[in-house]
Amino acid sequence: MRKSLSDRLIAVIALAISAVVFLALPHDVPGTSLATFADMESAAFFPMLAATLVGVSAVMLAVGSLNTSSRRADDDVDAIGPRPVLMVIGFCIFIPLIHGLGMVTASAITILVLPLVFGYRDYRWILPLAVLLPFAVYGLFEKILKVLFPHGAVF
Amino acid sequence: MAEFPDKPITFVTPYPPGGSHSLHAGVITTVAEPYFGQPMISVIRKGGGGVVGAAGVMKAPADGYTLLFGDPTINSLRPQVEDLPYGTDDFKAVARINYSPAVFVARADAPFKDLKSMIAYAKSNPGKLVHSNDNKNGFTYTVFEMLKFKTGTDMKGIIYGGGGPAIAKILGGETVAYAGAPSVVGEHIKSGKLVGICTTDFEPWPSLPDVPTCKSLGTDIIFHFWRGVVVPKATPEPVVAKLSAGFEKLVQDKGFLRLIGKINSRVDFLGHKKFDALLKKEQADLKALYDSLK
Amino acid sequence: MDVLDNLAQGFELISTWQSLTAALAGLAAGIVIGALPGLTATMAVAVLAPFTFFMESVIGIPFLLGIYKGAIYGGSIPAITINTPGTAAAAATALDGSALARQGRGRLALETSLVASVIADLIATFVLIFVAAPLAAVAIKFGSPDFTMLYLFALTMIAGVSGNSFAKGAMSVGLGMLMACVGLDPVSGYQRLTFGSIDLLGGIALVPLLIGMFALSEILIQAEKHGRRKLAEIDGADQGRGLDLRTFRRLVPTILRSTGIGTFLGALPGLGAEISCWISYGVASKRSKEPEKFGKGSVEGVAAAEAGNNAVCPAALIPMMVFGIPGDTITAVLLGAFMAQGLLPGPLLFQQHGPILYGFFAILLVTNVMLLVFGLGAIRYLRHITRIPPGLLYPSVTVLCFAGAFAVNNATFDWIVMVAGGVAGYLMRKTNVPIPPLVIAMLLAPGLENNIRQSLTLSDGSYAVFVESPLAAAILILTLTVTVFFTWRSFHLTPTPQPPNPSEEARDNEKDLDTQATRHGHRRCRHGRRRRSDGRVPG
Repeated sequence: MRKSLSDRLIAVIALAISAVVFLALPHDVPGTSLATFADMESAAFFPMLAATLVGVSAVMLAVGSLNTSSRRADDDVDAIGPRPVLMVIGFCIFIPLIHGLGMVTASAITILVLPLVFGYRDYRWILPLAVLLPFAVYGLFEKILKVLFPHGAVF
Repeated sequence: MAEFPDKPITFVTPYPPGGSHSLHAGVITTVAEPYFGQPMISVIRKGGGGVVGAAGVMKAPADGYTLLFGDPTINSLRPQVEDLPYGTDDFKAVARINYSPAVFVARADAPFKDLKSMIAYAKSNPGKLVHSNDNKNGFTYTVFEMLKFKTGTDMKGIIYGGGGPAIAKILGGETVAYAGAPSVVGEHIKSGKLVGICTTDFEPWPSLPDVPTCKSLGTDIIFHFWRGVVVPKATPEPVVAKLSAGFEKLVQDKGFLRLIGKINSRVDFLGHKKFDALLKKEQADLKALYDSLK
Repeated sequence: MDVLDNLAQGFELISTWQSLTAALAGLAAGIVIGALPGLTATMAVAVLAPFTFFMESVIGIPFLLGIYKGAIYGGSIPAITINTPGTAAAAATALDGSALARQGRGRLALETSLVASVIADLIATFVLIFVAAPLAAVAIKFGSPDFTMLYLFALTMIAGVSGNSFAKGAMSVGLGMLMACVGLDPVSGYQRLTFGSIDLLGGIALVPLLIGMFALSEILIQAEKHGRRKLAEIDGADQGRGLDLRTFRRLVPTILRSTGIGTFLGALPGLGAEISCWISYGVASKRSKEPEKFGKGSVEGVAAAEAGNNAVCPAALIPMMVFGIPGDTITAVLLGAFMAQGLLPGPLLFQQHGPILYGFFAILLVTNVMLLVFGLGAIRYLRHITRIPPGLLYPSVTVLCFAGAFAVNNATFDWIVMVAGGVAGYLMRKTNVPIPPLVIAMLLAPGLENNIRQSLTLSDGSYAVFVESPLAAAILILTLTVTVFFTWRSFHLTPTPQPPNPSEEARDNEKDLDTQATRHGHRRCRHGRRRRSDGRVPG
C-alpha cells in the first residue's frame, strides 16, 4: 500500500472516531451541543476538545498526504502478513482458555503453540519452558504478590 | 458443603493504593488468617471513585468469599443520588471497623479563626469563601454541603479529585478551608499551618482535644466516615454472622491494635446487626439532606 | 554542618547487615518486577508494604525503597532489549534504546541508561537532603492554572518529539485524551463514552492498554519478521562496546539538564516520571547537536529519558516528607508504609524523627551505589536477551503480559483491553502513528481536565485566569511557540527517504545519508534491511 494512501486511510478512521464521539456525547451528557465549546466546565467539553484535536489532525494529515503524493515519489507501507493475524487469533483464544482451564494450563498450552507461529519447533526447549514458566508465573503472582488468577477446570 | 470458609476470602478495596482504605485493608488482611481459618487476600479494584469495585462485588457470588471494604459515599450517598449500576440495598452489612469524623480547618492566615467568624465571613461574602473539595459527593464535599445547608451560607468548593491534592491546595494558598480526617489534618494543625474549626462528631477527637465539636458550637453536623465490610445482599445470614464474629475477634488482636494505632486510626467496632441499623439510618438521613438541597 | 552530621548519624543507623541486606533484596526484587511487563513499581510496593508493617523501620523501609528504585530502573531493561517498555515512563527510553540495541549497541544503551539513572538519582537525592523544605515551599505554590499550562506543554512536547509527523503525533494525543474520558466522570457524575458497558464505567485501564500497545504489538511485529534466526542475526550482533569515557563526557550536560527537569517536576505534587522523561527528552532533542538521531538510536536520547525519569524518584519524596502529600501513587503507598512505622509524614516529621529519616536518605544513596555495581554486572548477561530465539522469547513474554495485565486491577476485562491495544498498536506502528503520545495523553488527560475545571471554578468561569499567573502565561507562550515550530516543521520538512533532489530538503537528506537512517524513523530502516535479508518485497 502507498504511504499517502495509508495516511488518508488513517485520516478517514480518525474522522470517523471523532464523529462517533460528537454523536455519542449528547446522549452521555444531556444538553450537549456545539455551544458546549464555550463552556469549559461542562463534562462534554473535554471529550469534544479531544475529538476536535483528532479531527483537525486527521484533516492536516490528509492535506499533507495529498501534498506529498503530488510532489514526491510515494513509498510503500507493508501489508499485514498472515503471522500477526495468527498471533492475534492466538491471543483471542488464550482469554477463554484461561477462564475454562485455568491460568497455568492455558499458559502452558500457549507456550506450546505460539512458537509454531514463529516457525520455531525445537521442543527440547519448548517443553521445559511450557512446564517451568507457567509455574514460575503462578509462584510469583499468586504466592508472592497475592494475585488470584482464574483457576478454571484444570488449574 | 464444608464449613465456611474453606477457601481464601477476597477483601476488595475499591480505592487506589495509598489511601486510608487500602492502608486499613493491608493491616486487616495481614492479621486476618487466624480469625477466619483461611487467608484473607487484599484485592485493589479502583476506578470511578469506588464504583467499579463496589459494582464488581455486587455481581460476585453471594457466598461470603468476596467482601467489599465500603464507606458512606459508595454505600449510602452516591447510589441514591447518582445513576450507578448498584443501589444501597444491594449490600448487606457485616461489620464496621472504625470511623473518622471530618475536621473543618482553615488556613492560619484566613480571615476567620473559628466557626462563628467563618459563618459570618461566608454570609457577608457569598460565594467568596473558597474551599478544597475531594470528589463530587465525597467525604469533604458532603460535610461542606451539610455546613452550607445548616448555616444557610454560600461557599465555593473546588473539586480536586482526592484528599491529597485537596490538602496540597489549601497549604499552597489556592483555597482557605478544607475538611478532612484527623489523621490527615492533625499534623498541619499541630504545626500551626492550619487552624482547626470544628469536628463532626459527638465528642472532640482524642488526638485533637482542642478542636471543639460543631454541635457544641451550635451547628449540628454529625458525619462519620466509617470503614466497614459489606457483602452482596443474597449472602446467607449464618455466613454473615460468622464473618462478623471473625472481625470482632480480629479487631482485638494485639498486633492489629498496635498497627492501627500507628496509622493514627482506632477501632469502633460494630457487629452486623448494629451496623445494619446504622447504615439504614444514615442512608435515610443522607437522602433527606439531598432532597432538601434540590 | 548540621545536615552532614545528621547524615553521618543516618549512615551509622543503617550500617547494619540487616538494613543493607533488606535494601539489596528489595533492589534485586524491584529490578525483576520492573523488568516484567505489567508489574509496576506501585504494585510491587503496595503488595509488599503490609509485610513490612511488622518489621523494624530500619529494615522494612529500606526494603521498600530498594524495590521502588529497582523497579523504576528495571523498566528500562525490556524497553531497551526487546522494545517492550513495561511502564509509560520507560517508553521514552525504548524509543532510542531499542533502536540502539537493534544496531548491535545494546550494551551501550543499557550502560548509558544505568549511568544516567544513577547520576540523576544521586543528584536528586542530594537535593532532597539539602533543599527539600525550600523546594517544597515553592512547589506547593503552583496553582491550578499553572498546572493546566504545564500539562498542555507536556502534551505538545510529546506530540512533537515522538514521531516524524506532528499531525500523527497530535492525532495520537487526541485519541489518548478521548480514551481517558471513557467512564464515570467524577465531577459531573455522567457516564461518558461508555456505550452502556459496566466494564467501561471505571474507564479504560491504562497499564493493560499500555502493555498491549507496546509489548503485544512488538510481539506481532516480531511474528511478522518470523523465523528461527536469532534476533541479533537479523539486526546485527551486539558488538559489546559499552559506554566509554569520551561518550560519557559528551552526555554530561544532557544528564544534568534532565536531572534538573526531573527534580523540579518530581517535587510538584501530582506530576511523575512519565511527564518528566518526555519533557527531558524533548528538551534534549532541541539542544542536541545531532537532533536527527533522536528516535533512531541516540545515546543522548536514552540518557535524557532515563535521567529525567529517575530524578523524579527522590524528588517525589519531597512533597511527601515535607507536607505528607504524596506526589504519585507510589509515594502514596510509601506514605502508608511510613505511617505504619509510626513515622507520620508532614511538617513535624523532621523534628520528630530526624535520625531515622537521615537513615533513609543514607539508604537512598547506598542503594544507588548498589544499583550501579549490580547493574554493570547484570548488563553483561542482559544484553544477551536478544540472542534468545524469538520463538521462545515472545511466547514467554506473551504469557507474562497476560499475567501482568490481570494483576493490575484483578479484572478479566483488562485482557480484552490489552489485546485490543495490541492490535491497535500494531496498526499504528505499521502506519507510523506514534504510540507514546496516546499512552501519555491518556495518563495526563484527567489531570489536565481537572485543572481546567478547577481554574475556571476559581475564576468563576473567566478564562483570564490562565494568563493572570505569570508562570501560567510564560508556559502558555512557550507552548504556543513549540506548537508553531512543530507545525511549521511538519509542513516544510516533510521527510523523504528518496535520493536528494535539488529542493529545500537537500541538506536534510544529506544528513540522513550520513547517519544511514532516515527521518522516517528506524522502522523504515528495519524494513529496508528485511527486504534485503528476505529477498522478498513486502506490500
